[in-house]
Amino acid sequence: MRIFHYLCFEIKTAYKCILGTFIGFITIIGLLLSLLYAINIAKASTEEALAINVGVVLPEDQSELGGLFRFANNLTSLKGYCNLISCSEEEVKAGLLNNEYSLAVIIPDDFFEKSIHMQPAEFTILLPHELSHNEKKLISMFHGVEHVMVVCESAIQSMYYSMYTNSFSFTRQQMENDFTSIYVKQFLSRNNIFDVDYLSSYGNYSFIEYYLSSIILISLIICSISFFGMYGNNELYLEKILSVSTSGIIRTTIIKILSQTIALSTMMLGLLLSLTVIDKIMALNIIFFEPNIIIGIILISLSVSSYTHLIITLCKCSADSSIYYILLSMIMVILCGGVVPKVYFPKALNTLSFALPFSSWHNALLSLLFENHLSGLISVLIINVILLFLGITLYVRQVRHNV
Amino acid sequence: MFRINLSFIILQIKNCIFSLYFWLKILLVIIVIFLVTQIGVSSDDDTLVLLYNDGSSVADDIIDSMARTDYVGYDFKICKKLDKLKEYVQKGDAVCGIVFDEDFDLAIRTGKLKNCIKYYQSASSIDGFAIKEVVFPFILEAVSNTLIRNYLSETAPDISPEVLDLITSTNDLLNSQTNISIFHIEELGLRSPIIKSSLNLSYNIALWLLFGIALIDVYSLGEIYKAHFSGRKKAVHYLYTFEGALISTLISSLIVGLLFFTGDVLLFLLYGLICTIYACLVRFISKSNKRYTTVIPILMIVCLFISPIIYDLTIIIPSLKYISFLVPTTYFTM
Repeated sequence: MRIFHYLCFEIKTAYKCILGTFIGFITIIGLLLSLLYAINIAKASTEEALAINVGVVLPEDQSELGGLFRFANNLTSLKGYCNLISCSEEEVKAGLLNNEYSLAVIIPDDFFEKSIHMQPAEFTILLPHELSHNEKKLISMFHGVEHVMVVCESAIQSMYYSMYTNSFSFTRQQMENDFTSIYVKQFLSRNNIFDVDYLSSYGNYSFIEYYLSSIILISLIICSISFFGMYGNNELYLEKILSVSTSGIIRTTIIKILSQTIALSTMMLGLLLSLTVIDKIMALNIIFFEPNIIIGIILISLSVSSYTHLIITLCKCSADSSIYYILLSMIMVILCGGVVPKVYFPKALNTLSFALPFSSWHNALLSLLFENHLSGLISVLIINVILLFLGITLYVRQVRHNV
Repeated sequence: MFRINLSFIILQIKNCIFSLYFWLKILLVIIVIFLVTQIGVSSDDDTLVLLYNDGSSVADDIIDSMARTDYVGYDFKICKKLDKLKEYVQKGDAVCGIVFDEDFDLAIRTGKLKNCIKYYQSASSIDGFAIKEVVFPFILEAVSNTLIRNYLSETAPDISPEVLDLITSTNDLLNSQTNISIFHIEELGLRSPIIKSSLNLSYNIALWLLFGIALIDVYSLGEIYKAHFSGRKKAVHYLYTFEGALISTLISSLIVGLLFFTGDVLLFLLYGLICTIYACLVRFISKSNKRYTTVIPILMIVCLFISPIIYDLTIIIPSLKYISFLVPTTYFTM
C-alpha cells in the first residue's frame, strides 16, 4: 500500500514538474514546427526565385516556331530554373537593361526556313553579363540540341553517300522523313531511357517526416529536464521509509522512473493526437495515429526517463547537473543525426552514433509514425534494459555510499 | 557599484579552462561546425555528374566522351566505385549518378532503350531533368548505327553487309567530324546584378552557436556561482555572472575563430562581447533564472528563424527584416 501511495505521489510530482515547463515546451514545439514549415516554403520559393527569365523574340507569322516555343516552355527539364517569355526585340533589350531578363534569344525570320532545308541557321543569344549557374545550364541544353542535330544529320548524310552508289527502293525525300521521324520519336521518349532511383540524405523518409520525429524526441529530452526537481537532497518521509534496504532503493528508483515515463508518455500522446487532428484538418496526410504508436511512445518515454535518471545519477544530483544533461544530450542528438543526417558524417562517427540511444529512438519513431512498424522497438527495448540496469545499480551504490 | 577585480578575472579564466562544462560546450560547437562544413552548400560551381561503368563493353567510349565534353555548367566525372557514387548523390555533392551495365549493351545492340541506364538522382536537386537532356544526345549517337541497321533491315532487307558496314562507318566518321552551330552569343558587357546567391552556412551556424553559448553562460555561471556562494552563505551580485560569462564566451569565440575562421578572430571576439551584453540584458529583463531558461530556447529558435542563418526568410517575408534587427546574429551573418 505504501508503495502504491508513493507511486501516486511521484506521478503527481512528475506531472507538477512537467506542467511547469509545458507552456514553454508547447511554444518551442510550435516555433520548431513553424520553422520547419517556413524552411520548406523558403526552399521552394528560393528555387522559384532563382529561376531565370529568358526573353524570346520570335519572328512574326511563324506558327511552326510558335508551336516549338510552346513545346520548349512545357519541357519538364526547363521547369524550376528557366521561364521562357515571348516578347518583342525592344521589350527584350529594355528587360536586359533593368535585369528583368537574364538573357535573350532572338530568332531571325529565316531561321525555320533554313533549318528545314538543312542550311546553316543560327539564332542569337544576348548575354548581358557573365553566365550564372542557370544560364549555363540553358546554354548546355542548346548544345545538347546541336548534338542531336549532328547525330540526325550524320545518319541522313551517310545514307546519301551510299544512295549514290547503290539503288534502294525508297526515295531521298522518303528516307529523310523516315529518319527525322525516327529521331524525333527517340527524342520524345528520351525520359524512358533512364531507370530513375531517388537517393535522399533522409533515407526513405521526407524532410518533414525526418525532422518531425527529431523534434518529438528533442522535446522529450527537453521536458525531462524538469524531472531534475524530483532528485532533491531532502528525502521525503515515505521515500526514507521505503529505502531502508537495497530492495527498497531499487523499488523507489523504479517508481521514480515509472512516474516520469507516465508523465512523459501521456504528454507526448496528447501532443501526437493534437498533431494528428491538425494534420486531418489541414489534409496534410503526414501523421496517422495507430494503436501501435501508444506502445512505441511508452517504450521510448521509458527509455528517455531511464537515460535522464542515469545522467542525474552520474552527476550525483548536483545543482549544475541540468547543464551537463543539456550539453551531453545536444552532443548525442547531433552525433545521432537529429540535426544533420548521418550520411554527412565520417564513417567512424557514424559507427559511434549507433552506440548512442538517440539513434535507436529516432529510427524506432520514424518507422512507427510513418510506416507503422514495431520492428525498430526491439533495439529500444535492449537500450531500456541496459539503461535501467546501469541507472538502478549506480543509484543504489550512490545512495548506500551517502548513507 | 561594480569594480573590475583582476584576481577574480584570472580565477574565472582558470575556472573556464579547467571545467568539464566548458570543454563539453567547445566540443559541441566544434562537432556542429565540422558537420556543417561537411554539407555541400549550393554555390555557383558547376553541377557534378558522376558516371560509372558496371560491366558494359560499349559504355567506355560514351563515358570518355562525356567526361571530355566542355559543356558549361556541368562537370562530368568518372567514379570508380558504385558505393561512392551512391554516397555522393545521397549527400547531394553530386546531382546525379549515371550507371551503365550489361543491359545497356543489349539496348544499344537492339535499339530498345527503355530503362537501359540506371540513373541515381539526388532527391534534394531539381537539376535531374536538365541533365538528362545533355546526356541523351550521347546515347542517341551510340545507338544511331543500330537505328540505321534496323531501318534498312525493314526497307531494304537484301542490302549487302559490306554496304551496311560502309554506311555505319560513314555515320561514325560524320558524327565525329560534323559540327552544327544553331546559335551564337553576343555579350553586352552590362554590370551583373548583385545577388546574394548562397549563405555561408558554417560561418552563420558558428555565430548562432556562440549566441547560444553566451545565453547559456549567463544562466549557467549564475547557477554555478549561486550554488558556490550559497555554500558560504554570501549574496552574489548577478553582474558577477556577466564577468564570468563574458570570459567564457570570449574564450569560446577565440577557439572557434582560430579553428575555423582565422581571418575573422577579432570580429568573433567583438561578436562574443555583444552577445554576452545582450544575454545579460535578457537575463535582467527575465528577472528570474526559471523564466530565463524558458526564454533561452525560444530566443535561439527565433534567432534561427528570423536571422539569415540557414535561409534568408526576409526575402520572402520582407516585414521580418525589422524584427531580425532585434537579435545580434543579423548584423554579423554572411
